[in-house]
Amino acid sequence: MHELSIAQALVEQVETARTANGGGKVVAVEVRVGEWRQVVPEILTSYFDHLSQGTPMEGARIDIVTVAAMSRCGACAREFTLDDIFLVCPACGSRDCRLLSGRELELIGLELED
Amino acid sequence: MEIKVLRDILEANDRAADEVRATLANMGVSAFNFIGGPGSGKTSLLEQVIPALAGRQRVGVLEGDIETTRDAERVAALGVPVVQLLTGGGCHLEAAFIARGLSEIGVDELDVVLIENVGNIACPAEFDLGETAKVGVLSVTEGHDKPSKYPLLFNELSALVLGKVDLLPHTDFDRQAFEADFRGLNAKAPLFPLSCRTGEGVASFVEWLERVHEGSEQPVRLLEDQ
Repeated sequence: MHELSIAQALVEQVETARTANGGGKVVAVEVRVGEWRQVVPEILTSYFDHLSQGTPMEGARIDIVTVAAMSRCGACAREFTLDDIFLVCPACGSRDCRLLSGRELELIGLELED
Repeated sequence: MEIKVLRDILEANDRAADEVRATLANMGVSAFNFIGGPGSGKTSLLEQVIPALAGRQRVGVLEGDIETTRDAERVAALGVPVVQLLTGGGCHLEAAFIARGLSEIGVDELDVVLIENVGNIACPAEFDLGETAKVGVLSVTEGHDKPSKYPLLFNELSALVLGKVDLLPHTDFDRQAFEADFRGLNAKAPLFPLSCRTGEGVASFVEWLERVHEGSEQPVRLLEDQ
């Protein structure tokens, strides 16, 4: 349900970017979401659709790009994709692993009607 | 027309959280964000922690709930200042609530602020409140599989309270399976098994709170240090 707050913040950001760029209708919104966020793309999209009704964003397409969670082992320096929820190095078993990506939640850009 | 933006969607919350952090740092106040499911024992834990800190730290409580002031009334009965933050349906607290709560409660008169988040182990983990540390509250009756089912919270927290341990003999809670999962998600955060009914284990948790407040122990921040 936190997707509602995220969608609200997204609508506000899109509106700021839209007005700063001369206004007009929003055709598409590009968003980047890391795998290590608990964001369900369908829920985020449906809240966005709901909140954007009656605004220049209504009907805009939401393109959600998922970012894989990547990690680097502090013990053996191996870089790996986190297929699992556990931060454990698949090569040496160390738990001294740092997250390189996977926590993104970003508005990349938007497309305005020409 | 394509427009590049490249901004964090939650930047407004993150900015508010930075302001909370700055306020706390200026006043020398620590804030602990208690996150756990409904009925996990968050309020009962506060009812143990507050008297234990009495006379040593000036404590205030920000009580997050969807509805009712029942928890706030329980806490107020202990004689500490409390501000109720009602989300009116919202499933988590955000940093702007905390900023408002700190000014209402008179943070300049306090040492330690205990924030009880809305009962939920999924959503609150997504929002930075500017707190000193996040404390997870899980009770043995909720089951040993919770860390792996809600991994983000267990990654994020700086300490985990495992509550209601007096009920262990009556449950199928598998302590080994629980610890293996928890340590896979968070290798460093201290774990405090305790019972608010018997008082067992409460003292060592309170000692940790005070060490973090006094700066002799840095809270683990697995994801933020990345």
